[in-house]
Amino acid sequence: MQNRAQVWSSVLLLAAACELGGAPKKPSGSGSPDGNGSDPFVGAGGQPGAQSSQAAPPPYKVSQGNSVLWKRHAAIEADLVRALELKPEELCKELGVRDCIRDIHVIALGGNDPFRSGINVPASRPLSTSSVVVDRVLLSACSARARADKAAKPGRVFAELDLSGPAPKADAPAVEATIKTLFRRLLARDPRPGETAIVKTLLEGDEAERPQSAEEFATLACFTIGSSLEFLFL
Amino acid sequence: MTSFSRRNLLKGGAAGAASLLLGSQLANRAQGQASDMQMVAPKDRKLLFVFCAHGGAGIIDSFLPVVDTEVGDAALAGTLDVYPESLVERVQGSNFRYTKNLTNEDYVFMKPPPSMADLLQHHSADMAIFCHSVSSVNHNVAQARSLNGAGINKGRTIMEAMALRYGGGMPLPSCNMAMDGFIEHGSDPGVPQRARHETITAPLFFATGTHGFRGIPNLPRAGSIERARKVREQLDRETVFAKTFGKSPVIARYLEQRRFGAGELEKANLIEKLLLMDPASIKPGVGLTPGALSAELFKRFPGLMEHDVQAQLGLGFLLAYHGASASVTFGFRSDPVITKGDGVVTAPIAFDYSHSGHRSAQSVMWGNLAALLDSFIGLLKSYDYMGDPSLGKMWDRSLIYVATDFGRTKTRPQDAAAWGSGHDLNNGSLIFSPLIKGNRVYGGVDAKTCLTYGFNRMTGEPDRAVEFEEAALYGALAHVLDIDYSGREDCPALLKRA
Repeated sequence: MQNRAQVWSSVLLLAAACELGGAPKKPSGSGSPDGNGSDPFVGAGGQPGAQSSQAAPPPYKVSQGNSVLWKRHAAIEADLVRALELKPEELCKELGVRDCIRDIHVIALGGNDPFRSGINVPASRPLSTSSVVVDRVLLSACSARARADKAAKPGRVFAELDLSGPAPKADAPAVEATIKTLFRRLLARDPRPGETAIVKTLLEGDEAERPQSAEEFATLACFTIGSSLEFLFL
Repeated sequence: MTSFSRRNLLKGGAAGAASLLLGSQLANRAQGQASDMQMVAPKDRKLLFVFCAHGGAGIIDSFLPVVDTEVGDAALAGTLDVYPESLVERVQGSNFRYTKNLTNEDYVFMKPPPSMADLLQHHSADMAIFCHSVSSVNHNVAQARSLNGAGINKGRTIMEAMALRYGGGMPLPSCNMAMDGFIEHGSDPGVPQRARHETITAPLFFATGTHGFRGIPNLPRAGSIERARKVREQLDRETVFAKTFGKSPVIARYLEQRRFGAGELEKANLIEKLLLMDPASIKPGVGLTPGALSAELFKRFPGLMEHDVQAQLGLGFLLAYHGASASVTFGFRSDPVITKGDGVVTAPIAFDYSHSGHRSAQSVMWGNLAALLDSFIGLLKSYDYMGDPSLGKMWDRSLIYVATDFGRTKTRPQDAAAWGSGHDLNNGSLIFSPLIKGNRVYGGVDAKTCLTYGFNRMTGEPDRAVEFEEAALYGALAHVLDIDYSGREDCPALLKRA
């Protein structure tokens, strides 16, 4: 009888583990960088830049749980207002008319719309248009900050760059300083050397892809960091 | 006789564990690309449009009215939701009756609605009334059940079933612009995320959300932005955050959509194809030109910029026309349509304003619904699917289902001309399609109670002993749309081509 109970408890434990998608309270990380799932970045497109850490397993534990939170419309708005020192209404106006975050794309950005649409509970996961909308919001906000900094020197965010000039060289001190500023403002930390090197590759590539001005570089660097997973999830 | 040996129990336990594991895998698969969604050649596709009549659209207040003299008892008639003969009319060639407009004063603050006659004159041949009851008088519950057949198909909504059946390869297989319970997803965790509807609350501007940067002035060149996206991808591989949490389902879903967005969605050029803006209202420098059909839509729906439901129908048409969606859902919202020229066009809280004024609310909402459907069906009859004459008209493959919560109470205070009604399980639904045997009421209404009854599903003959609920209606729709599932209640009588 005791054996039978042990068998059943094992079965139930196994079942519970399966349902929860792994061992939730004890993240694996004992040397398997990939965990036991597939690579979420597979099929993600090209990989410019020489930096990569694929060769050596990183010393980080890989979470097998589901504890990540999607940063939704109000939090994105608040973080961009703080990071880029813009007013909410300056972040993004769709076709120059209506607010992107609180109005037009509120549902795609994870918000709710109780009075107009009766959507009291927001989407549990990103919609098909969510990532595209995030790109629009970030490009619009970053571009607005770059334009404002160009018009009123010294700039508040891109103070190290001459925004009226051409795109700087990748090894210019102003580039590294700008990347550091953006990491601090958007991700609240300093960049690691590998990360800085990756963002600098924005200034490489062929003529059709390189930013033509410092203002464009400022916009693109801000967009790259601000639309990264680390900014969008908690 | 089954023996419950330890071996059998263990087998059972393992099967139970396996089923849970399978459930987990199904949930994981649901996040990914919709491999279960069928790819169907354009010539074989069908289109589903669901118009959500929010608040309880009573069928006996529109196209199945009872005339007071039919009750056979004047005193009883005075307590029922019946109409004097002067308010009931027919159009030539149509087997349906319709309720005529009340006096202008009866609408109090609302604009008198358009007549329902035009809809019957133009589209009776493809129209049917499906008499049935429902299983809830709670708005949200009833609304959800009107779309998921009270859970008959594993809890899938008819729109999800449609997206699975025809939506493979489409950028937005199912779009939903309705509200409350009509916008709830189905409960089957095995439905791929892509088959679930895309929620749309701002139809006029929705197109802008289909492209990451077009339409934003003063940005770097497209090539530079594309490169920045690739650099972002590389940065995401490098950060400790992404290395630690990259396998989270919500991030996996986001990454999948990011690939989809930059790939299929943007390449489909939906930002111009679906743009409903008046070209004159778009600032220079934005760099967007609405598609050629926009001008025609403004003719059919002249109030499109102010009238939310007209905007929904315009966007729904474009989504279907361009082959972007297999199913589009729209409907009235709680707030009334108010325009500068016409004032209050629809009732506050839509059909549910019947609580305050049953007859005026039903009349104004049905009149507007009929006019909107008349224009929309006319549009579908005018245009070739995907602009290709070899595919025939859009209407040839379309079905419109007018979903509503429930009916309204059938009684009134003795001889009252104006009163407030409650919710009633008994009702009927409108279906429009060239794929059905139209110009017919499936079922009927008992004049002495104003309650509808069902019909024989094989012959279509009325049968007072039959009372259908949501599952039967869902089955009939699925049958017409060639959507199969275990336990489907077929309805051969409804099909034009059985």
